[in-house]
Amino acid sequence: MASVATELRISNLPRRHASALKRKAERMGLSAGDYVKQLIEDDLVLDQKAQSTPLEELAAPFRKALEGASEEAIAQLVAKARSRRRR
Amino acid sequence: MPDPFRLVLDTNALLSGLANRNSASGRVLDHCENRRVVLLLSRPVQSEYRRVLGSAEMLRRNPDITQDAVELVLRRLRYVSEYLGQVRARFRFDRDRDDERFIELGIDGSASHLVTSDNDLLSLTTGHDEVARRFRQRLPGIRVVRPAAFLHEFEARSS
Repeated sequence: MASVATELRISNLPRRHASALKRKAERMGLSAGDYVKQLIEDDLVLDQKAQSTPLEELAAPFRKALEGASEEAIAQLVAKARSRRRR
Repeated sequence: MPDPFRLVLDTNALLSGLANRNSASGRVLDHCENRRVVLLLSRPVQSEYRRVLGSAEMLRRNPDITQDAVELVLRRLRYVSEYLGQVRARFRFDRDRDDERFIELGIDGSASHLVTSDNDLLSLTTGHDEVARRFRQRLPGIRVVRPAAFLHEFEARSS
């Protein structure tokens, strides 16, 4: 099947974002266009996985992190994460 | 058939649910995922979830928690939720400014329940101070309940 290429243009991208994007692409040995293409592909893969994977499976790392934690411990953890952010 | 419950889930309840599927919070999450109830979500609430799930405290407990792992959970929630692209309601809650986003989502999303274990939020439906009165004025029908109480209500309604 022949693939159909689509060209996307991003308008009004702030200059500092454009230069940061270019710098990051260069660090990765990519052109800015290829880097953006890769970002889009990665994002769509993540979306696809999120749609097809039950929450129970996705929660596994969090389950492990919070194994045996009481409601109080979880509340403290949330409070700590929030206070760290405010500082 | 009655309208489904529309709920806002605070971060503690989310984390408890992720930690233990058999807990009350875990069963609430299961109802959300299976769309038996409507989970409400907004960008500010999603950001709050993201910050806590990806916090240094969580990473210390399990270094396997990566940015992708956090993102996948959030996207799954977004996929099963009713996502409000823009929340215009404003509600001042000085006791915990971080909780404002949950209340504001409840207002704009016409929530029937705010599910939380936070005593500050729980006191809003019965309190006599100015903020509690203001809360009841803005959200006259909402119930602010612990996960177990929500389940009880949900099951009583479904039976």
